Amino acid sequence: MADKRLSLLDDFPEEATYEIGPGECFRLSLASLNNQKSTHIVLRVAENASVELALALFAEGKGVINIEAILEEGASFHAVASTIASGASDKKVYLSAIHEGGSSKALVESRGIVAGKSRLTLSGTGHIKHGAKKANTRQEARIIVFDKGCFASASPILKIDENDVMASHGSAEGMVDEQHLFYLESRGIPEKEARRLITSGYLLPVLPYFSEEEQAKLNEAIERNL
Amino acid sequence: MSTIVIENLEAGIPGKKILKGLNLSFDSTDTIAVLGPNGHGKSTLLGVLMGNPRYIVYGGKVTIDGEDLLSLTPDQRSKKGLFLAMQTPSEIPGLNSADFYKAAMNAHREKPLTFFETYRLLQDAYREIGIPFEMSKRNLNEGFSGGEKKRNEILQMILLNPKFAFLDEIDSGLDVDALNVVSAAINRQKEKGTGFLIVSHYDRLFEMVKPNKTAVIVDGRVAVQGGPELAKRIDTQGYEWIKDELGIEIEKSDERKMNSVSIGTCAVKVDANGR
Repeated sequence: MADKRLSLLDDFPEEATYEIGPGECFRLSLASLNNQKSTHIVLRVAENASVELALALFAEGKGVINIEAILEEGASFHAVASTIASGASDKKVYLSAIHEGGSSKALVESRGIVAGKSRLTLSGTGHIKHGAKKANTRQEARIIVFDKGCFASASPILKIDENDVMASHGSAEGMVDEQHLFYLESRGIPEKEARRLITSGYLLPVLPYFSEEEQAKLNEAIERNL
Repeated sequence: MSTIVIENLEAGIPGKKILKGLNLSFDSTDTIAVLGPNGHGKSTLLGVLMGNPRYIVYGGKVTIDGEDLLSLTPDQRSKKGLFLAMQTPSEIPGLNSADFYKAAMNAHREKPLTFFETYRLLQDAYREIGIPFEMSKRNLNEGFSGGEKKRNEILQMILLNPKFAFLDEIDSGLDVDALNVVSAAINRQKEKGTGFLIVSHYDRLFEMVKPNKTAVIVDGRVAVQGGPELAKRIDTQGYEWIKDELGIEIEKSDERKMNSVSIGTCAVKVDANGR
């Protein structure tokens, strides 16, 4: 459980730095529901502190979301992000972990859906600096492409300046699985509804990081934008 | 009573015909054992009837009670009363099983089910197939064992109460207990007036659900039709005699007898006779 929490709905700071003291736990939850803004956030995570970041970017619009976690010795960072880029959205989401200290850990899980004439980039860098021995970093980005006119780029990056570390990344871009759709449709569910069920399920992992009241608003935003 | 008529059906995957002019008619009072060597079109037939986009229809006609079936989307076919229990059901991450079943049941109704109606129907169906109700909270087929997936398909058949159910190797990967549960559910569904096309390599299932007809598919056509005695004959003699008696050439090398036991084996890859 987090000692400190901050939840921001539609109201992102243009620029902000959060300092997380040694051993502290911090949860930052950001959601765009009606209005997509750009933001640049730096999280300075001190020794043995941990940060959970939840991002739910569902509003139609343009924005660059750039979040960097700077991790000291033994610090940890877990980011879960769900993005919908629908209508004529243009979203770029960069989630980076900079490992300054040894034995620091980072896991970044980004998922996105791009539809209509939208553009979506999910990227970020797992950077293990010289001296950060036993650091462990993982970057994942997955995008489901709905329509032919979309642009999607899932491109996590690793930079490793130290030996004796663990680093991995994974990315995937693709259409909704045809056989998944067929399975649902064969039970009587129309294609549109089937797509909605499959994709909202895909975006759900971010929900538990929000309060119940906020989750209701997020669900509404998913329904509205898919 | 409903009737499906398949006339001269030609279908397959891009660039390859698998069904080559298949004819078959059946009623919702029929339970048909669909047999034939691997790769000759059994699964393709079931997939084409349900509208799997993997397959292309090259020609021919399929009607249900005189109405064209092939122009309908899979969800429309489901609403006409068709159901396909898949050989390998998809795992859908993030989709809660109970939510999916509710959406499927509601798609077949004018007025959506209430929470309590849904709950009761699901609970009864889970009891019938011997799976803990707790499983309804899990994601659809995600991390389910092979046997759980198969039972889950039968669960959906019970919930949707179709006019016609097509079962594609529903018994592969089932242990003896599960096979008994699945056969009992099929028999109850027969009593409710559902017609069946059952694809299986194992005689054991047919002993329990007692098909009234047999259709043998060879090289994309129904090579021979008959009563339950035909399934028995293939179980004991294999497919070789079809070639000898009817002069139909069976191209594939994996022609074989039906296997009498299905415990823990995969029907596609394992030859229980050790040949």
